[in-house]
Amino acid sequence: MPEVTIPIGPQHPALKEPIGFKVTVEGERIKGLDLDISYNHRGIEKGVEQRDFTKSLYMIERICGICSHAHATNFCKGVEELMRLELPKRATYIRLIVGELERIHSHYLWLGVAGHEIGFDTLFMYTWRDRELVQDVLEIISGNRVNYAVNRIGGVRRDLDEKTIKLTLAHLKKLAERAVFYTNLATSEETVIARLAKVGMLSHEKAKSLGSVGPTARGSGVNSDVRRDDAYLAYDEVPFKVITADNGDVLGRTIVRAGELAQSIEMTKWALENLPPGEIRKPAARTAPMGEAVSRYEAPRGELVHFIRGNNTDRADRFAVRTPTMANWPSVVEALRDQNIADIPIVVAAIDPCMSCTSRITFLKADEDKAWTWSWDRLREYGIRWYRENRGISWGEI
Amino acid sequence: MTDSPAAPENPLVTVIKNDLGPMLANITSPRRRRVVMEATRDSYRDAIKYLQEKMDCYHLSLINGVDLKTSFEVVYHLWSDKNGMFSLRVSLSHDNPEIGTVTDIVPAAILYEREVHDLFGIEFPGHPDMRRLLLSDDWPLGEHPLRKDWKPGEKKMLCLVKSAELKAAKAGEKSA
Amino acid sequence: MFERLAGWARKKSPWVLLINSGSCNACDIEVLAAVTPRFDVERFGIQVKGSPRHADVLMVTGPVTRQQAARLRRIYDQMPDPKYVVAMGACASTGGTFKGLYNVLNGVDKVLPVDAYVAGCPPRPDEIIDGVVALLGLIDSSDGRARAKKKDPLIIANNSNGNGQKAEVTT
Repeated sequence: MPEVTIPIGPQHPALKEPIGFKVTVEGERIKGLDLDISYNHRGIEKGVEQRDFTKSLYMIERICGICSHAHATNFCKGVEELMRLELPKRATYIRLIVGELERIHSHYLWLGVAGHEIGFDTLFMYTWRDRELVQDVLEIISGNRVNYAVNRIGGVRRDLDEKTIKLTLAHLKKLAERAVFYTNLATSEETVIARLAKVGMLSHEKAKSLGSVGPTARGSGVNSDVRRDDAYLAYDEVPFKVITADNGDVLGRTIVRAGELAQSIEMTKWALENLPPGEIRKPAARTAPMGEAVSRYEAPRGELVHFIRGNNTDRADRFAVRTPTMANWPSVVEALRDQNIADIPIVVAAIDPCMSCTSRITFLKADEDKAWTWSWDRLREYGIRWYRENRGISWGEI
Repeated sequence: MTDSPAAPENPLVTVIKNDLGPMLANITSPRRRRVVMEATRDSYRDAIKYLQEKMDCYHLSLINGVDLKTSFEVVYHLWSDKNGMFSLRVSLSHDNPEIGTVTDIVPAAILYEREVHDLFGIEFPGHPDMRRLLLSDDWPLGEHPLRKDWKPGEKKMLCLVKSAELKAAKAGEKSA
Repeated sequence: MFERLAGWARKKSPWVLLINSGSCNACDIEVLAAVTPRFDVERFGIQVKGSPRHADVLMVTGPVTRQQAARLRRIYDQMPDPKYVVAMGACASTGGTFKGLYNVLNGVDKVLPVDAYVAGCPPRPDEIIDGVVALLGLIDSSDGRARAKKKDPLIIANNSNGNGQKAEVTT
């Protein structure tokens, strides 16, 4: 069968940043995958060299709108490491609480998007409705639903008062009940299992050697989590379990995220109930001494790395970002090898790309001079139809 | 606090000094769970293999470039759940910066080397697929934005190329 | 606000094409949140569609990276008349925090004629809805037709107290 290359272009009706894919297929089987991530390159690393730490922080928060607190916190703690600044405990707890709330909102978001990709739109509506509770809490704590700007070099900007804590705990109680529902959906609902099991297989060895991180790696049994293995903020005090699954498929990654959702709700509760008294901020110098810091954070998508070089000035000499999605792309290529075209949407979505979705999928016939285009929507609908016709997957009964 | 700057002497520093001796320089531990070391273009591959085999570094976190104005640096960050982060830096000349690929021993390096190439112009001979990663199709060749001497203002980077012109330029590039 | 929208929607259901030109996703997610049950714009007939050929309104987020610029122009050309462009968020309006970075063009109006700017980083779902409503009102009114000739774009900025209650429309 002739090999055909399918480029998938960069717009999507539903969210996420633009990416171009080129998929090489033989009939319906995927033989290779190439990606073009230039659509989202803005030049932030250079920009940070030209802005002082405070201005840079505003920009760094917007590297990604879904995990903005992850980037901001990671940058702050890297700079604080250079400055040899030790934070008051209360500040680390507040950062942790916002960080776990972010993980909750991000995993809810993912459940909805994953549902949408496989045709289970009811799940999308349910999860995003529940997610609004988290957005409310984040808005009360920080003043914004997204891009919370809680961090400053040296601590946090706002404190949590009794009223906020009480309200948050009440919302968390509701969310904990819903989380049980979603965990059951992932682990025992037949149709979900039929749709996701054995799809996008990534072996334990490949997950490690290709550098994958986060739920993508943990869904293949890699027992690694920055919060436990490189503890930062107050993660050495807050009790939690690292969730792994041995499946190696999309179902495994789903089980991990559902489990992490429940864990994060418990962690946030614990942190709020055990919030230590004290200052929320330490005054920080304007400049950072010579030195380098490698700052790591467990973002909702996995290990986030910032490399920061100080040179006795008020700005970073070098700032390098490695997002977890970047680390996970080689696993997508591997997970889609020899899979069906119908699996592209969910396998790509399964790494929870913070730059996903593509607008146009271009098909090229290797031996002919023809090219034609599909939209992501069309590929998605193809996948939903394929699974309905060939595997009997239909969402009507749920 | 966990990220506390005051770190006791890391015993791994002594182990590495004993095992790899002259291959590495400036082995230090700036904080807990971090070891930094310098290798040369002749010793970096053996150092990486050592970290993978003896220090349990199964995970490549990042490869980044640094422009130090008189030289370049490529830094490899390898992680072990057991032992922490090992950052290995290699100094390269500013005129002709190149260092052999490590994708054969660290498959995860595949995208990071492309990124460093795009942003700094550092060559990685032996890379199986060295193409643009981040910069746009119409980005002029030879312009590496993260070099310290590269200033965006000096060059008009206006992009509004009409589709036809863009296609023609691409076709010209292909036939060239 | 909702009465005007409901009235307008009876005449025409605007279909929106959302394009991310390099944004951080925050704006895109708030647009999507507008579709979900809490805000629910679909009851007014506003739909977020995938194809340029069926869209009335092109909503752009992001500061417009170089790679996306040509593509954005192509998508706009594919849309049938009458078509309207909304610059969603601070980045799409002026480049936002990314203004001046080497790979961004600093806003949609450097590439396309813009009819409305919705400020915010990101704008809340209710502000987004308000922006779409104002745009629809603009399209409907006769002097709106003149505005639609891109001489006089509508600027929607949040003047609320954080509860998304009041948004002021300035021109």
